[in-house]
Amino acid sequence: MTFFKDLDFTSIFTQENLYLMLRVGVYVLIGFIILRIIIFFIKRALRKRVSSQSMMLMSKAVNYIGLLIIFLVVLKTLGLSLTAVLGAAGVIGIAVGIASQTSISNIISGLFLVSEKPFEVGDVIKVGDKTGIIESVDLMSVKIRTFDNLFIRIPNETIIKTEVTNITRYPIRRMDFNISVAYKENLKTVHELLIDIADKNPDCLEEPAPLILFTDFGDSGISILFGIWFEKTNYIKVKNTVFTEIHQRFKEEDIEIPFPHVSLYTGSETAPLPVTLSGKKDSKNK
Amino acid sequence: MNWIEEYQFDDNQCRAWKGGGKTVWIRRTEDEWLVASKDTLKKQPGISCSENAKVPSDLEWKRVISSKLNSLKVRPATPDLPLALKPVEVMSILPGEQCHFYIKVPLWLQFIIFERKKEELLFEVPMTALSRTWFGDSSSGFISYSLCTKLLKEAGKNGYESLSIFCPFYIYNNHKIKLDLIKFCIHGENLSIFEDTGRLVSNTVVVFFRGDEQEDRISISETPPEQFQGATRVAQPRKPLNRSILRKSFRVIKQFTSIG
Repeated sequence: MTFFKDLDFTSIFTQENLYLMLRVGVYVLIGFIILRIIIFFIKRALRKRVSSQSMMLMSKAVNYIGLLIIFLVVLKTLGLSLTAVLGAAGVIGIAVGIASQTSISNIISGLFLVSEKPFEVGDVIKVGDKTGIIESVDLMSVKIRTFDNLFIRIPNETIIKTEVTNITRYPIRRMDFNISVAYKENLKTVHELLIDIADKNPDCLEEPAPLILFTDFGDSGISILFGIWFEKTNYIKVKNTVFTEIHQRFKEEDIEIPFPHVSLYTGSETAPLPVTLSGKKDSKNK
Repeated sequence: MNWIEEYQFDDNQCRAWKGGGKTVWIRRTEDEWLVASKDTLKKQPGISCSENAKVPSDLEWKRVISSKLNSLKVRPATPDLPLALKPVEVMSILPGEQCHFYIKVPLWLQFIIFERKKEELLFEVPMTALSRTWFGDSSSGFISYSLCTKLLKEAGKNGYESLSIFCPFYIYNNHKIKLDLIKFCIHGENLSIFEDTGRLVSNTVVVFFRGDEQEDRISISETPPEQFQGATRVAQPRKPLNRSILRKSFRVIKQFTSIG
């Protein structure tokens, strides 16, 4: 308390100092307003010419440069020597740099991401087990929104180190369905049926042509890979319609989709598995 | 073409346009336009408009609020995407030869509400269902409608043909290797539509094929085709012409030909 008692406020809030603080306040205010106006016009001018990611990066770069200029102007107004401040900043920078290696690593990774451009704002990416739409690509991290509306911040360093899949890079995609049919089925009929399903679905592209590949003689049946091409925006619609259509048409054409059966044995080790024939009683009655 | 005209609606009046396998209903109420469309099993040749049309009970109406735009006009339109065409019979053009044919571009209808010079697109609909395809390679290609078509020597006349726009197409093979027309693309969205004695025609498309090493020259005429000089323009192109897209679309032909 003695500290405040000893403080001479009249010497701090002199008319000259108040005038100086007012000047600094006005400079900061005007600086911020000018900076906002510049960013607004840059965004408006670039909106139709560059991607949203490039626009975001440019506006952020202008913002940081503008803030630096305002900071330097304030220092100069306060009468502080820039050389001394920059020198001190260098020393502090080294200290901070050592203490914040991860952050610096993220920033450098961010620069690589910006130059390499593996994705842009609005793309759908998969990083590890996380899939979502990119909201922003920042200096330290990439922010994504998952399809169940979760916000995820992924450090740039993680993105550089991890395998990233850009799901929406190309306008069209192939959706693969792994189907299995019983050994007794006529594979030519199955082939024709699958082609017909793709032909009749308005969201399946005619070209590239659907892929039908008999992949394996499996334990329960013959495995088939059925790949259809579609526009990336129609993912859910295509998935549901083709899935339903396969199920329905196979049912109509009496094509069996085999699946493994599980028998639960609850008896002792040596006792035979009890088997009951259903329907026997009915046939006897007839 | 008696359906390309302007319509005034009484309060709560409903009109229906039928053509191909599609029917469109439009109703005007005090400050709203109501629009519905439905696919029909029975295909009707040509397009007809019925006043005070019967409205099926299962229609799903779309409502557009517009208190000022009271009139409606119907306009033909080209498809909103390019057309990837596969000729029914593959045509080969020998070096130094030229070829002229017509392509039937599927017709779309645009329903435009207007008042004096102000107009807004209310609704547009393809009169023929078209499936989609990818034209070109996986990175630089584009989505287009797929159409298997005959390369016609003559433009059709009335009736069923009025569901198509006849596009005159010229190809000059200025290369030393024969050109096989297996698949090619038309940017219908860059074409104007003209009306000539009951049929719709588009601008002429001319392609000078120069092989793989050189850029092809493609031109689209601004005026009606030579054969239809008396034709009147009934619709402007959807999009202004972009030369680079035109070149790209024809360049793809080379991938399907014996060249290179």
